[in-house]
Amino acid sequence: MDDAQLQELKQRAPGLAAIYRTGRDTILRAHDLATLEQARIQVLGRKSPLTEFLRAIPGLPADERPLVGKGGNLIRKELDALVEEREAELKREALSASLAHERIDVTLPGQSFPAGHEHLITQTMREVEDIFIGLGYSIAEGPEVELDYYNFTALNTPPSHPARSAHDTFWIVEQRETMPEAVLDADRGVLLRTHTSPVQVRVMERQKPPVYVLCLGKVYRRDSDATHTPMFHQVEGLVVDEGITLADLKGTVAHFARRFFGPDRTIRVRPHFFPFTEPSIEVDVDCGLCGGKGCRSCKHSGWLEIMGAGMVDPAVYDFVDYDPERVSGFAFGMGVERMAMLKHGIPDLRLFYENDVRFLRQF
Amino acid sequence: MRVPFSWIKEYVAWEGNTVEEMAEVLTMSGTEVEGIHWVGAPRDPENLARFVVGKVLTKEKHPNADKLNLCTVEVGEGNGGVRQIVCGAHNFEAGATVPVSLSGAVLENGLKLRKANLRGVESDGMILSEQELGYEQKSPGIAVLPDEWTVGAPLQDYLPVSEAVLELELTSNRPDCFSIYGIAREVAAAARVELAPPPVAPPAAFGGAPAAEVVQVEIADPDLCPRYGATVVRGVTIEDSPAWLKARLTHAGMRPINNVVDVTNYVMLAYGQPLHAFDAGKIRGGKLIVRRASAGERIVTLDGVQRTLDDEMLVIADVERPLVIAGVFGSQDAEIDEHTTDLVLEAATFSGPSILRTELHTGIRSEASNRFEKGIDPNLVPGALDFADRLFAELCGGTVAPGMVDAGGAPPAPAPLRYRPARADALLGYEVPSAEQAGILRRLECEIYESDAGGWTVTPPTFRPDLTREVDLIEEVGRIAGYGRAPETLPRHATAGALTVPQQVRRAVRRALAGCGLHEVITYTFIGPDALAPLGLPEGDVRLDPVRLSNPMSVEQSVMRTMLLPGLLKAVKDNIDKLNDPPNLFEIGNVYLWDEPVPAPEHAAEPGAMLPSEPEALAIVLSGPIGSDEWTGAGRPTDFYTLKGCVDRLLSSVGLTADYAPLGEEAARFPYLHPGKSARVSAHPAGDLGVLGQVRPDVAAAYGIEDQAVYTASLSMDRIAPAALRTTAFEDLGAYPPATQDLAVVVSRDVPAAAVVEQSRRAGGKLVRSVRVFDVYEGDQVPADKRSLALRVVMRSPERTLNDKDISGVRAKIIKALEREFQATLR
Repeated sequence: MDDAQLQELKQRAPGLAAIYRTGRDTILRAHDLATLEQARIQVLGRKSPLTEFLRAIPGLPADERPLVGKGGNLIRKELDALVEEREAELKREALSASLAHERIDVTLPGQSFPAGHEHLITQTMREVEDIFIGLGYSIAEGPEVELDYYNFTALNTPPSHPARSAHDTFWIVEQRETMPEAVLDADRGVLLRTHTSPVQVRVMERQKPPVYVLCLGKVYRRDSDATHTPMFHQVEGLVVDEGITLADLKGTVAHFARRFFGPDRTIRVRPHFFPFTEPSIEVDVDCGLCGGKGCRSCKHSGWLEIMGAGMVDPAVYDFVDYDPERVSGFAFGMGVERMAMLKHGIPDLRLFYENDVRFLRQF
Repeated sequence: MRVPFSWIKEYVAWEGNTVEEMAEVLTMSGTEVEGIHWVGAPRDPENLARFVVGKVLTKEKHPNADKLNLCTVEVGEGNGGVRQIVCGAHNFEAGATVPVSLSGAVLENGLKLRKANLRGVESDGMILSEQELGYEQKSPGIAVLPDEWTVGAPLQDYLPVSEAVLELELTSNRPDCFSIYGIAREVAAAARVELAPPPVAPPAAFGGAPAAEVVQVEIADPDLCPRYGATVVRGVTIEDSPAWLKARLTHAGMRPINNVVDVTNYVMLAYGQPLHAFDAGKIRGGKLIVRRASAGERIVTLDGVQRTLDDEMLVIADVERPLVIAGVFGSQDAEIDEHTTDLVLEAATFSGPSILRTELHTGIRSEASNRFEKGIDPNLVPGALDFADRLFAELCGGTVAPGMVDAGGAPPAPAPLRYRPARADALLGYEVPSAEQAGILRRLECEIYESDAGGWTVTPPTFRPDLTREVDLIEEVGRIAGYGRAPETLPRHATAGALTVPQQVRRAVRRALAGCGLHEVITYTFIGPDALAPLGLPEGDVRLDPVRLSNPMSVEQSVMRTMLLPGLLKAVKDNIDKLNDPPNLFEIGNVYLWDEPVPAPEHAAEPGAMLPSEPEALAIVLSGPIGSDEWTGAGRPTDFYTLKGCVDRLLSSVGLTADYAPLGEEAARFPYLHPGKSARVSAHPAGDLGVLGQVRPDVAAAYGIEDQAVYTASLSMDRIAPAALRTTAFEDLGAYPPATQDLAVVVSRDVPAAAVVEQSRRAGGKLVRSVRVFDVYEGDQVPADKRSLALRVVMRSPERTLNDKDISGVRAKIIKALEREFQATLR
């Protein structure tokens, strides 16, 4: 009820106006829910002046009845609403007062949900996979116990190559019962693959170009120190298509390096030698620690070697019946552990295989 | 290989350019420079100026010391004229030209020279020995220099007082780079600077009977030795080499021995052809025979070790005995010694693979054999003999006999190759103008004959056995032109990359298990042959027949794993040993089995060759609580149901619902599992997937895990994958509300909960959406052999809201069925 309405009521029904004012003050004075209930009974209850007043209406002159009746009901509604409003207000105040007592120590630790971790090698391989899936590659797999043919011969590695020696490569004692007598002497047949390249040969044997594959997995070499473990992981890529160039290889590798190490990194490409690529290159990325100025981690060269690569040697195409005059391609390979070590600053390769939970859960 | 900078500059025009620039040229053209080592005295100009050529003016005994000499030494006007120097050596006289370091100089060993008072006499400077210059390990006296050297001149003008040594990593396909001249040729080609002619000038004079009258050569096995050249030098005096020669050998990584041996090594380092000097007097019968050894033949090599040869090793023999393991190691029988006067000098070409084989069988590897194994150009033979003979004449006082014995002779010229310059551009992806291509090939000493518009005919030099095809020449053009010129492009293809289903499954499973709080490990796939012994597998089990390595690095890594469990148990133990909390781990990886061998393709192996199968396995090992104790509450102790929950989660993550059943008959295959706490897991439609359960405590103890209960699951990834990741069909959420009923039934303890649930579901009819055990009670409130299962049944109709009658009807049906099937009573 605004002031204008109250003034009108005052003039036309001064008794009602007084009831309203008194009732309103009583309600607003209530300071808790109990006094508010008392006030409600006092103002709006059966024995309240308002009820009395309304009860007396039938006894008034007929021409006054409509005005006073209407005004009385209006005041009743008003006061009802006021009680409700005041009740909500008092409840909020009471809650606030009680919340003010519920203090906790927010510096105590939060509940920990068990967090497991995938191995850093797994995470690194997945990151590399995703970069190359984005470039349209598929992921190919092959056996770890492999034939000499796929691991060496079909990759243009001469029979006398040192890598084939028992010094560098793990050879397997074959299941002799299943083999004819004549084969028993040729004990150079089955080995633990020394790189993932045999997968590439197997892919090319069963698929004609275009080939865009990435091969990842465990490989084995007879070596053990801070920078060599007898088992490690490799990623290799192979592309064979029409018109593939060394510039495409360089662009692919640069794209990878920037996605994996960061958008500001640059690469350089140096000539090198591998039996299964021609031309062959090694790829360096600028040292992230010193920004290429030279430091201990990059042996003061400003560069870190990340992979070997090259254009697929035509001799390899001979083994898989591709025509080097029609197609060309490139291959690249890198060590997964080395990638992870460079990215995360891990000093010792052996940490990957000690499986110390304190190491595993860092990544 | 180590290349002293001052030495290579003799062969390639590099004045005004630095060693760092040369390193960059080499690295970027394919000869990787691993480092530049500065050897000798500190290289700053002030220090180097303190090393000068001096002349001894007087030499007298020290007045107060018997073993010392007191000298006056002229060191040049600019250096203060005459200095008084006390010297302990006696191998010189007044008038000798000597190296002098002035006071203030810092020597190779880091010592700073000061003016000193030695037994009452002032000594201002030092007369140096080769040892003090860093040219050899131990010198008997000071270095005496040629008298032609200018007194007072900086010593660095004549001798490398300070030297930069390039350390190169060479690749096996480039035998020509195993020489300083060969490296100079690379520098010249890549930097487009001038290359000096090869340093192979013959001696100025010859004398005496021709070489052929002194020694004959017979090559019995030309397959292992295509060319064998020999010359004869008479009247040499074996003594120390001059300082410059010692310096070069030492800086290149070889030890000076004596003038004759040093000359052979010097020529090898400079020109790439290993040489061997025989004492002519020790060759019996005047004949050298190049032949395979007879099996069991013996030789005492220079190191005094008696070695037994086999019939694939090549020897140089005289008519009576083997004198040298060809290209690898000399014997005591024919070596030069201090009494030697006449030499027979060998320069030969041996088959690389044969040398490599001999190296592997004897364990001997030398600078010479390292070069032979790469394959050496037979055309080096005459030049190397001339080069060495000239030095024998100049440095050893020898007279070179005319003529060269040349068995085998020059090799045939290499086959010309067809070369298309346009093809190079097409493969490289950047244009190298054909005139530039021709220039590159010519600088690498290829001969080019233009044949037609599209291509050339190119003959590579004989020292480049790696150039046999057009693509080899393209690589030469590319690397010398520089790969830095290649733009970075991407293939313009259109293939779609994607993971296969098994690859996606692998990712999902790993993520799910990590999400359960487990850590993934990767263990070595090779294990010890006894690693499975504590498991007690039955005899004849395929897991006891591993793939064996014929040359393992250790017994502990000698067979390929047939299961993942031993590796995981070791990882658990290793963590506990490091005082980490008992870990919860999983691994996904191949195991290697012979039970279903894979035949090798015919073209790839001998008939009958087999590869093992490599099924992909998953194993989990739990050894402690997954959550830790915290102030908010204790971590739940790990038990069978923790493990089962992990398995449920991993299978549901790829869309499979697991079923579990006791092992039953199969228990015999898994004797390492607790008989009462183990189960088989399967899923529809994949079928049997594997087993899970507690590892028997005695088995865990055998793997060094004493105080923890260990739970393990092993599953076949190969069986999971084909059934996994099917598209899930939408199930209507239902417009009507569900109704829930809880009931507790008491049944015998041997009734499996799964059977009660299954029976309840079936008996309840189509209104039942799910039945779940939410409590299990065993104790005072129920009979001893029974337990109470609390079931929560959720019902819902797709058509209407269920009323009390529907709900009590379902409840009654379930209770009735459970009473009938399991004699259950309501609690």
